[in-house]
Amino acid sequence: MNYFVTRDDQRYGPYTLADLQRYVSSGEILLTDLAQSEGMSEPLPVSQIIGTISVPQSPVSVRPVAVATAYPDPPNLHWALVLLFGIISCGLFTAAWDIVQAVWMRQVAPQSRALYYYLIYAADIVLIAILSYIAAQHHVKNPVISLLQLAAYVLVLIGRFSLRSSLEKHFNEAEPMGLLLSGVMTFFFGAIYFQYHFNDINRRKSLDRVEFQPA
Amino acid sequence: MSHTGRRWTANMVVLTMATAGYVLHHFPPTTSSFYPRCPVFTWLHLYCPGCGGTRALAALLHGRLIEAMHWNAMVVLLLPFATFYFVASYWRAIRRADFQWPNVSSTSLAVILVCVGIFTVLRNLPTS
Repeated sequence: MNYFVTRDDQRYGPYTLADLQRYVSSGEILLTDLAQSEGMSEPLPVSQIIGTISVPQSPVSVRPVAVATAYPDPPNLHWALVLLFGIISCGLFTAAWDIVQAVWMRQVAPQSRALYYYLIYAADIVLIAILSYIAAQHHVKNPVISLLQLAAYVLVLIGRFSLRSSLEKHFNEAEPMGLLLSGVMTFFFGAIYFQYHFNDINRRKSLDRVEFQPA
Repeated sequence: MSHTGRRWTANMVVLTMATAGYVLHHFPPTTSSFYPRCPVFTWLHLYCPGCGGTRALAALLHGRLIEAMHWNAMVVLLLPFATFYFVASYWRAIRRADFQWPNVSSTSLAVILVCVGIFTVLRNLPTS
């Protein structure tokens, strides 16, 4: 069942019961907010909807107000569009989006090294294209190209895991949002997987801003 | 990012795309072998949803729509929407002080992703 939360005449949602619990525990939704599902005739306070279900208190609930706006938001293109544009552009868009994400990471955590790996990866791809062109012109096989291709795969993986590490550190220390990223998903989906979490983080940050807006 | 920085970035993206289009037009993948091979096809011998996309784009740049559809129909069909989205994004990046990516409804994206999935399955079915 999905619920809509109303606050100051603004409607948010839909949220599942699990979402409501999570946002209550993180302080983004208040127990006094009104919520209504499709089957309910009248909105009820969130406290009555989640009822006796225990809501674990996390350190997020004591997050300082200023944190919600202290750092620039992550890039907010929908993850499905990153996937689709990656398909249409034969992977070039995804490679570019890797760099966009890493640039943002450097803005919020200057010690992050993911950008370096991605830039070397991009340079490697350009070098592969140039060497492949020269090899095709001379009708020869250049074994260096295979090595550079292997290096490209290794570099992009190192970049992904470096970015994952920086993201987990940032969203559990500087902006505590309890972010945990799967190693398997990072390995296979990289930028698309990170973007899925960026979309969620942006949604939560935007809820924070609404909550902390001065009256 | 400042508005000036965003405008500069947006114009650089357009320049890069124009350069890529020029290279694709003058060195089509059907006659030039320096384009990288799809890792999915190289390792798994399966067509990913993007396989043939570069050839399809090159054929489109030469005005050969039927050939482009043959290489990758999905890329050809999605291209108008992607172009529209790109133009809308570029317009916002140039004109607006506070940039937001244009919204696409989750339902539309889900439908497109399902179509992409079906297309991928269909193109990998053995043909008699």
